[in-house]
Amino acid sequence: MRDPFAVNERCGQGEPRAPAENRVFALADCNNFYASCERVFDPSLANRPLVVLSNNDGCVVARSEEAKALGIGMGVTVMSVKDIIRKNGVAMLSSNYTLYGDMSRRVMEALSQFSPDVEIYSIDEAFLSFDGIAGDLRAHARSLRESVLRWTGLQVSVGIGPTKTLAKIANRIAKRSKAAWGICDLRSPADIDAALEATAVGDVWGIGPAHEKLLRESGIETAGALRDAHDGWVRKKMGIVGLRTVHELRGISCIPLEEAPATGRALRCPDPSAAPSRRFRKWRKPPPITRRGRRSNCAGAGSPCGCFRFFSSRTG
Amino acid sequence: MVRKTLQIVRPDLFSHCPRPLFLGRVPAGFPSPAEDDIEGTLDLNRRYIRHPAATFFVRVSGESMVGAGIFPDDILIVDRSLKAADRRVVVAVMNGEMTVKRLRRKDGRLFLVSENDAFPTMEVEEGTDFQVWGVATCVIHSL
Repeated sequence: MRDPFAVNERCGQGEPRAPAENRVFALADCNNFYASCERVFDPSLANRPLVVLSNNDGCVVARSEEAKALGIGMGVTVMSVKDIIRKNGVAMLSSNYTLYGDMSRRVMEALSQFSPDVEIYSIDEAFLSFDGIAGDLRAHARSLRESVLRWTGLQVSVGIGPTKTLAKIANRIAKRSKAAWGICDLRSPADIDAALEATAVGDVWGIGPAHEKLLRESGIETAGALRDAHDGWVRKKMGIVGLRTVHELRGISCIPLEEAPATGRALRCPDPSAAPSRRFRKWRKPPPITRRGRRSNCAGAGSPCGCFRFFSSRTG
Repeated sequence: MVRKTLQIVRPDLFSHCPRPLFLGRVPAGFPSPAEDDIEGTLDLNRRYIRHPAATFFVRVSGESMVGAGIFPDDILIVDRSLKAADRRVVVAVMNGEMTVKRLRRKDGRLFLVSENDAFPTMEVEEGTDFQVWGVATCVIHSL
């Protein structure tokens, strides 16, 4: 891996960035994955707002675009949005993680036809290497989208960039901008500049809520401002990981494709019984695991489960 | 929730079950004594599922395709990656409902044809909400 400090002499504050390597990354991400999987096997749901519910049908774990537009948030309890659901005829489906896992394998298999190096990042997104691919990469991405749609019925958005962080930003634009038609190519400096100015600093991959708060308090509101921050300050406030993110925003690839899946990921299973605060005082010990689905979810991820953590909030 | 559509199941692509394949054709009368004509092994998944990522099993309901040898409760092997050419048996979606029919293209018009005189041919008119879900390549019929 490149020494991030070696580039500081060439890319100091305010100087134009010069990507030292000609890497090209793509990020392919399924749109509204769980909801879309359900629609593949029940086309009558195509034009209805749709939500997918958690293991015990208590919380919303996925929404179609129509359901998002109705104001149904991610992770909310069904009880809190029952009026919206009833008034708008929102379809509710129990989650089917076996189905989603199977469809994810199919998407990844389809993606592997378009690049020799694919890093599965999550159940519905993967980084691909487009290094050395001849021809028009936008056409290549279009062909990728068409193949995934034909084989699986699922829409993916594709972001292209010289680093994984820029590919992530490109993917976000591809997904949200109707003019992009599902593809965004951020390889030209002018396009990167425009995209970074339009991206909030909290939407940069690797910038969590704590860093976002710190950056905003320091006057850094956009990804563009973060890219132009001084290396020494970034290293001091955000550590080497933050500096790596900044260099990635400058077009210097510091994060390669991973060959093995990441371990130690947390799996969350929402428990709506934890939401009402008045029930908290009744708990003297963590509630027993009563849903086999939770254990099987953890087991299905392929890694041994170290512990279960139960979260609840206490109000009043 | 009761689903009013065809039942679709996903093949188990991780189980390997090769079985001996006999070279000669066995007539329906008496079995062949040619035990040395074993060609090798046959794994049905490998033989009939050419594109695993795009292949699904669909359980048929109704009798509209009995003339093609497709009976109720039969299982179709459906490949979404294949082109929906003329005369192919397809799983189609029309106005949100899934159906198994033979696709016919004639003079620029598109039809979904049943293989049973008791069921009418449907024309797919312009502006109809229609798509081909996948192309059936094989039917599995239990005796």
